[in-house]
Amino acid sequence: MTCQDVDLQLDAYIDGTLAPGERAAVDAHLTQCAACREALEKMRRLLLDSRALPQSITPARDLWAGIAPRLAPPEPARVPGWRAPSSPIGLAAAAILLLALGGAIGATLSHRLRPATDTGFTAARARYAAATATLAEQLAADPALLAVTTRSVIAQDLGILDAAIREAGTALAADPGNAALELMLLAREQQRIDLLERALRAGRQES
Amino acid sequence: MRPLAVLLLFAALLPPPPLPAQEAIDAGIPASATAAIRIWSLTGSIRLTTWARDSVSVRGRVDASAGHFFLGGTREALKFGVESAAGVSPGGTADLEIRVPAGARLWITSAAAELDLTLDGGSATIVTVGSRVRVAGRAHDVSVETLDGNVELAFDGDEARVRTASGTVVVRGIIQQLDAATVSAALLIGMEGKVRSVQLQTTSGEIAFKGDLVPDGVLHAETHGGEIELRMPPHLGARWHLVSFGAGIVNQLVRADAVKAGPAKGEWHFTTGDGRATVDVRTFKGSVSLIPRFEP
Repeated sequence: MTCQDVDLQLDAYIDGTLAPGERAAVDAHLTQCAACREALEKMRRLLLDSRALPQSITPARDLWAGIAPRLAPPEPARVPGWRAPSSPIGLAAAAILLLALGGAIGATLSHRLRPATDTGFTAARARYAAATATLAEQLAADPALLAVTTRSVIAQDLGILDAAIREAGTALAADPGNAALELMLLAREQQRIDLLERALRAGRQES
Repeated sequence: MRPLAVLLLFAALLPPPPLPAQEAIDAGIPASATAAIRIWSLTGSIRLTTWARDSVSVRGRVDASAGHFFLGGTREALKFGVESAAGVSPGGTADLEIRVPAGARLWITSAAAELDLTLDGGSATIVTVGSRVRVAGRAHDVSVETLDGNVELAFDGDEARVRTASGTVVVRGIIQQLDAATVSAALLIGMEGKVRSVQLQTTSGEIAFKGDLVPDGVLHAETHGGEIELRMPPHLGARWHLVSFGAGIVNQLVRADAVKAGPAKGEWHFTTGDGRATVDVRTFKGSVSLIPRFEP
């Protein structure tokens, strides 16, 4: 059995789904090959680390079962209460949004300050960082532009995006050059920009 | 008599509070079959259908505190809706029933009005903050952008684009090119025929796709924290590329030995049939479930 054979079977080996004969062959190879032992350990660590991450949603196996409740008519027409947040809830929502925006600006500024390399991924992240910081600064400049409920939605979703970016970044640091991880991280950066742009449009709409 | 009973009796004898002043709307204006129509209403509801006439009809009622109704323009480009005084938050709602020519091109702007459109051709671009949006019938292209409104597309058409933050997206019918994204809500897609291109993206929501692709069709589904469930015909000829770092693949679609590990950990790939279509699926923490879908 070669290292390549073992590499192809590592997933099943960890899952315990290999036939006894195949498992014995992998075991025999592992006793002689330090590189494969290291690959096995690395993979186990990665799986443990990722399983330890909080699962934000635990859907039923059949996702369609949950459609109807989600399509229930919304609350009676909500009139956006905008302008200066005078209520405690409004002030709290504005504060939460500012914190979320502060996070977005801080994360992107710190990324902009890192030494740039000439890879496409790094250049793309720098562009996203610049765009995100500009948009977040515009929104932070006038948090009262948005309705209280809108501010809460945006703050919550910015938090989700920031957490996803951090998790993907951590995974990428452990596995540099992983193309799939790079794509996923850039997708989140793009979504953060889309959300900020939509928030600004919503603010203009509501005002 | 106890004070509470006195109060209740007094309250019962009071006249009911007056209803807010309302404006009844019954308006019409000539419009060409492909007119560009802009509709503006922040709250309440809009129920829009098409008809085979060269005019626009608007009926309904507007609370005085919601603003005033306006209507104007030419046969080719017109606009109407409810406008509140600048800088004043509307206190009431407006309910509008609208009929437009079947080929009209619509732009609808709202904050929280419930929008229900039944189209028969033409196109619609909808921008809202928190409206619940439903589009049915037949359309050339539909675009919906909202923050926390739920969106349901149940039409047959060429193209649809949906963006929400926390609003769930449900799609039925047959839409040849679908591009849908949320931040934290689910994308639940059930296509009733073969389609050309489906792009689905969310950060923490789950993705469920039930449908089929044309030869050379493309399905791309990507989520960070959610699960992905694909129900597709086992006879589909496609190149499959799957990524799941956290939870792996639940495969009921093809034989296990057909699935090969990819170049990086957490990646798998395989080919079915002639391999002309492309299925590209990525999730960071969730699992990917591949479930065979058989025609009823």
